[in-house]
Amino acid sequence: MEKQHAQMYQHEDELVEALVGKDNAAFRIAIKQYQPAMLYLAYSFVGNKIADEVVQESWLSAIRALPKFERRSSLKTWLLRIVANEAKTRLRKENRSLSLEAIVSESKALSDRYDDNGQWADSIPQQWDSDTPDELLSVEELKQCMNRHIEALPALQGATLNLREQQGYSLAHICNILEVSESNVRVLLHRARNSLFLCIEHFQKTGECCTN
Amino acid sequence: MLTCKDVSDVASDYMDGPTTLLQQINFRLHLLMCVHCRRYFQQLKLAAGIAGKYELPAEPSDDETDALISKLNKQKT
Repeated sequence: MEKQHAQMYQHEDELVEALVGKDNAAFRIAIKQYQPAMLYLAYSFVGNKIADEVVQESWLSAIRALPKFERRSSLKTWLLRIVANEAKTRLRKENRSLSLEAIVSESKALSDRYDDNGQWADSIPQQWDSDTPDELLSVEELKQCMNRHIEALPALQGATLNLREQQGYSLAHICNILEVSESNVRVLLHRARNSLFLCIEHFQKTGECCTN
Repeated sequence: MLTCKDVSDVASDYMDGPTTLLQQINFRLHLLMCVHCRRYFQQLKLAAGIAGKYELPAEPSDDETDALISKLNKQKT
C-alpha cells in the first residue's frame, strides 16, 4: 500500500504539491517518511517526554507554512528546521539554556592534561578494551551510560551531534537546520565529541559512568 | 609545528574537513610522531562513531499516523 503511494510521487515536488493540496495519502507518506528523523531531532533538544508534542506542533506549523515553502532546501531539511525552531521555542518557554555553552568542567578536564608547552603531561590516553563502536556498545553498562550521557548533552550539542553523526548531514545543512554559523557548528561538534570521548575514557578507567 | 594541545583543538575539525593542505600535513606529521595523539584521535573518532550507531525511532504506526492526519485535517477547516 505504502509502496504504491510512494510511487505516486516520484519527485519531491509532486509530494509537496499534494501536501499543499491537503491530500491525505500525501500526508501519510510524508509522516511515515520524515517523522522518525523529526522525532529524533526533537528528542535531542527536549528529551523523550515532550519530543512527540514538539513534532506534532511542527507538523501543524509545516502544513500551515507549506504554501510558502520556497524549495531552496529539501523537504526533509525544511521540516527539520521547523522542528528545531519549535524545540528552541519550547526550551525558551521553559527557561532552559540554548547558549553555546560548553560542559565547562569537561573541556577543562582535557586542557588540564597538557603541560605549559602543550604536550601531554598527566593522564595520557590509554588503550581501550575495544576499537570499534559496536564492540564498545556491546558492554551493556557502557551502552546505558552513553544513552544517559548523550541525552544529558546541552541541547544544541546533542542536536548537532545527532544531525552530523547519526543523520550524516553536512556542516552547511546543519547550519541551515539549526540556524547557527558554521564556526559554531564546529565548536558544538568539538565539544560533543570530546565529551563522549571523556565519558568513555572514564568508563574504561573506572568501570563507572561519568553521568550520574 | 603543532603541539599535542593544538591537535586536540583541531581534531574534531579535521574529521569534518576540508582543512587546508598545510593543516593536513601538520596534523598528519604530528600523528606520525606522537603515539599519544594518534591514540587520542583514534578514540575521538570512535566516540563520534558511537553517536552514529543509534537508530532512528521506528516509523509511526498506522494508528498514530491516522491520528496526526486527523489533526492536520482539523487545522485546515
